[in-house]
Amino acid sequence: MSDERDHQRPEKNRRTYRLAGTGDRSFASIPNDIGHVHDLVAGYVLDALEASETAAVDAHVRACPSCEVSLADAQRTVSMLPFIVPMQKPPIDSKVALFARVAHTQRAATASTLPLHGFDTLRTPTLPRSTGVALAAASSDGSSTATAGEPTSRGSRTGWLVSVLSVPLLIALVATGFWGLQLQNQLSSRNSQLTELQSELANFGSGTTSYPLSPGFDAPQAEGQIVIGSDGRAGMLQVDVNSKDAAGAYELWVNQDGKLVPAAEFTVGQDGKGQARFELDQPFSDYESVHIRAKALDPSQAESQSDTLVRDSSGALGSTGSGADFGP
Amino acid sequence: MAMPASDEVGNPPDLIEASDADLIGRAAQGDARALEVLYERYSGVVFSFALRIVADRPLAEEILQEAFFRAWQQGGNFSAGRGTFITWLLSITHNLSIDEIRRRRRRPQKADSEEPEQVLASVPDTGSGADVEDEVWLGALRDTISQALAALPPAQREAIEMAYFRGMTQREIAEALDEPLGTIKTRMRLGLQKLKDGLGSDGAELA
Repeated sequence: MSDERDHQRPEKNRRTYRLAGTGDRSFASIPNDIGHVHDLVAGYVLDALEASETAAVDAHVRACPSCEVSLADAQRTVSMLPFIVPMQKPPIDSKVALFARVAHTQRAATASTLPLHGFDTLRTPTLPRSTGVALAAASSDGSSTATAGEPTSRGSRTGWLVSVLSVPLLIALVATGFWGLQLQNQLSSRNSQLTELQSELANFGSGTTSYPLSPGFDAPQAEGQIVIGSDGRAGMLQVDVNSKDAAGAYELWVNQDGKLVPAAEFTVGQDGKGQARFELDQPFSDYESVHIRAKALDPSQAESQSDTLVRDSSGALGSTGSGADFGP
Repeated sequence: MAMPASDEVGNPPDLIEASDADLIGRAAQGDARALEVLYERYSGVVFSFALRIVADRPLAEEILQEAFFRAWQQGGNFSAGRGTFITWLLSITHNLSIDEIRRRRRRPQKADSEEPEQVLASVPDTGSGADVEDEVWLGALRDTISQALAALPPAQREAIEMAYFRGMTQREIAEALDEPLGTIKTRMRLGLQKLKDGLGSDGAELA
């Protein structure tokens, strides 16, 4: 039962199990001493108990099959309550944002499994071996030299001592300078990567942008929009051709340097509606135009199909979102 | 319960017909299309539920995204033997929503903030986004639960709704209604028992 509860209430149980598992007998011992927790079950499944009561129920049901059954029954009943709410369809932006986030996370996970040498610049810089030896020698008070263990006499042969000391000091200086340059380069590279990451994260958090589509000549009643995620490439299109006779396969084409390239295929249902998710090779704003067209039976005729919906860079259509207008 | 999926976004038939448990398993292994099918099935339910609790559309949209994102991330731990996917997903949604309103309650309230019921009353039922068969099924389920809830004595129903949809503890409810704490506990316990009896086998089928 504890597994089931943990499974169905992951957030809550992370909290309550921590309390129950701390060995705090002031919570865990109470219910077993005073009897069953049937009276607390309703409050527990409705998340209406105080923390100490919740912990008491957690501890008790682990050892009490009777209360465990009561709890499971009550949870089944409460699990029905969400369905009483009138249904609201979420905006398409939510879906775009979710899947952009999923794609971003997947990309990040993939990147983290790449061979380590690709990320050497992110490592903490280390001193060259020679620097350590040289610095160790240089940090001594003069009683030792670069040649470990070789005794020297203080006060005599000053010139020889200076020259002997100057060698490791010089080596240390050069090595430190070299390491400093290396460190500077690595920090600069790391800063650059962090800036890039921050920029990416900032873009990610800035939301999505909606672009309305204009009806083509052959489908003046059609409506639609394209929503682009914060990365500029992942998007979702939603169309309503407002015609029962227009059901079938459709394609999204993008105008890439004057050439139309298919970007997604989707189906318009009998209700005249359709939607598709897509990911573009380039940022959406780089394309000169986008076209929604019924899929041609003959692929060679695809480019000559008329537009059901279109959006171009003429500036005639403004963006409904917060982003820049479509096109350069 | 495994509801058939819409194919509006062109997902392959094997995904459309797959069970929720299969889909979340595939999603957890990186198949975004499987997650998309689950989203098509349940985003309406999750969004509506979150909106009912937080009474704020942008916030409900954020919770919707977060609930599916967490389900995707934790999907590898899901086991159909422990309950249905939708009850699991809705429990995530409930926890996120309640945490949010409790956090918000600790901050000063805006003077024009609306009650959840007011928000819901101002928007029409636009459907869940699922297909027609699902809409019918959800509609029938809603009717059943509404009837069972309506059959409760008002005081018991109120106690349950204040706890579940407003995130209030029994102590807070007692203070708000100026009733003894024991009275609230009793109302909640009896109300839930009657609700269980009223739902009959429907509750068992879903969970």
